Amino acid sequence: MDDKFEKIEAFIKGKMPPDEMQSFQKKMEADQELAFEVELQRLEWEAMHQLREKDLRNKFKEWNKESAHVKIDSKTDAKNIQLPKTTKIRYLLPRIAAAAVVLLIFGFGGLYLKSSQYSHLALLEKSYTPPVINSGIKGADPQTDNLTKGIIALDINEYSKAIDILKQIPVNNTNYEKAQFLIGHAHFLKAKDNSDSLELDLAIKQFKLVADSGQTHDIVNQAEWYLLMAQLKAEQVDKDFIENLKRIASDKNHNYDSNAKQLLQRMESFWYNWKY
Amino acid sequence: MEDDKIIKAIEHGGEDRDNALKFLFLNEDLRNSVFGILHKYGVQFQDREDIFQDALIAFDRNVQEQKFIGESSISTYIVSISRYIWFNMKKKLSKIELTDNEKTNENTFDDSTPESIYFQNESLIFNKEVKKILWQLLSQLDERCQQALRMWSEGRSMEEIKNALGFKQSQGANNKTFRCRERLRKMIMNNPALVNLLKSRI
Repeated sequence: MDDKFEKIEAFIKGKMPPDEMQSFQKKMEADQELAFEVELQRLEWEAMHQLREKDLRNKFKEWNKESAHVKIDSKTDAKNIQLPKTTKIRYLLPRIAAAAVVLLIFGFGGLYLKSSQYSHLALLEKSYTPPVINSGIKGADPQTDNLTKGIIALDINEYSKAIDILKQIPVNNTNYEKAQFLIGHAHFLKAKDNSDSLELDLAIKQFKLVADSGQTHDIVNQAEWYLLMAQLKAEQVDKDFIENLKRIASDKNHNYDSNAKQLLQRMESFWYNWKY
Repeated sequence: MEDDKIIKAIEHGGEDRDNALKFLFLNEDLRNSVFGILHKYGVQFQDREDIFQDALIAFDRNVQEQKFIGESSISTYIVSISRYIWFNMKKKLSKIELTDNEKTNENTFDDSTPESIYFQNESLIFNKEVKKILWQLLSQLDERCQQALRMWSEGRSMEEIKNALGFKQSQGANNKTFRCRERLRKMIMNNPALVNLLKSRI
């Protein structure tokens, strides 16, 4: 790499001292060839920045996964802590009395816990995170790009509008699959609770469609996970639901394996299965 | 990790840069600040994560190109970039009006801040069409070439590039990087649209 090349690089990266920068700019004004070379190098730098950006986005994904595993591991460790046993008889009577009180508290507290922490809506609240779809901030033109417009409409809670916009994306468009998934999500968000069965049925139907016929790994994974979320919201937790949840939790390549493990853990807990 | 250490690590490149960016990416306080402010503006969906990641990418680049002058803390700077990305995105949508709350906040955003200057320059120089063409050219380079160019631009040493690409000697990595850069340059020069762009910028 020659001196001229390095000087241009320093100029582009802003690493040139201010006085040298000024004289370099004057040189550029006088020398068209040098000015062209600067612009060429600037473009090359931009190309390399795009490679760095792609790599960094992949790293973000890895770091996200790493951090999710750390959280799961710490929970598992906490579960393994053994509680000490108490056996002394002279303490038995007061303990029986205390146990009776505890049972009473357990009874009423359990009812509260069951409905507030382990109802399907409570589980949904704990498990739901917004899906990640590339909004096209950098690449797409929001004036004309229906996917971006649809996402924005979703952002501002205009679900019907989002559905209308996303439905305009034709089958042969590269964003069709994403649009179908987002339509499902718009129906899912539109339903306030399990009483809105029409919207939830539409969401479930839409997620099933994408999960079954989708081509893109990420979108299919998202559709499979949010199908479970919609079924939770609709209180449609049956044998198929549990099987699908277990399948996702045990699939290390699934984008939502960690989330599925956590939900499964909650559904296998005493409180979730407690019948009163 | 203190702000100046993060800046030095990113400037130094290589593994130091990765560690600094990982620290920022996993930093709950920073994430909560960005997500909190975006939540206030009604960004409830997947764009919060996208915007946070875009802001970190912009921050990384600004530091490398000496555009972050350290007048504010890193946290304030990244939150500010995130806000700008969101406003910029919404501004482009003529049909969707900014809310009163956003209008107030938008007015308080100083267009002379380093991050806004960065984005203004950015949009002027490299529009989406140019970026698209560059991607097409980059995809014609093989994986090893892409890796060599990326690592070189990240400030990795020839020793690191040699190890990553499986060369026995650093000179091999050096030659590879040089040849890849030459190929990229040739492809740019063979693309009439890019040559016209370059000429128009002189």
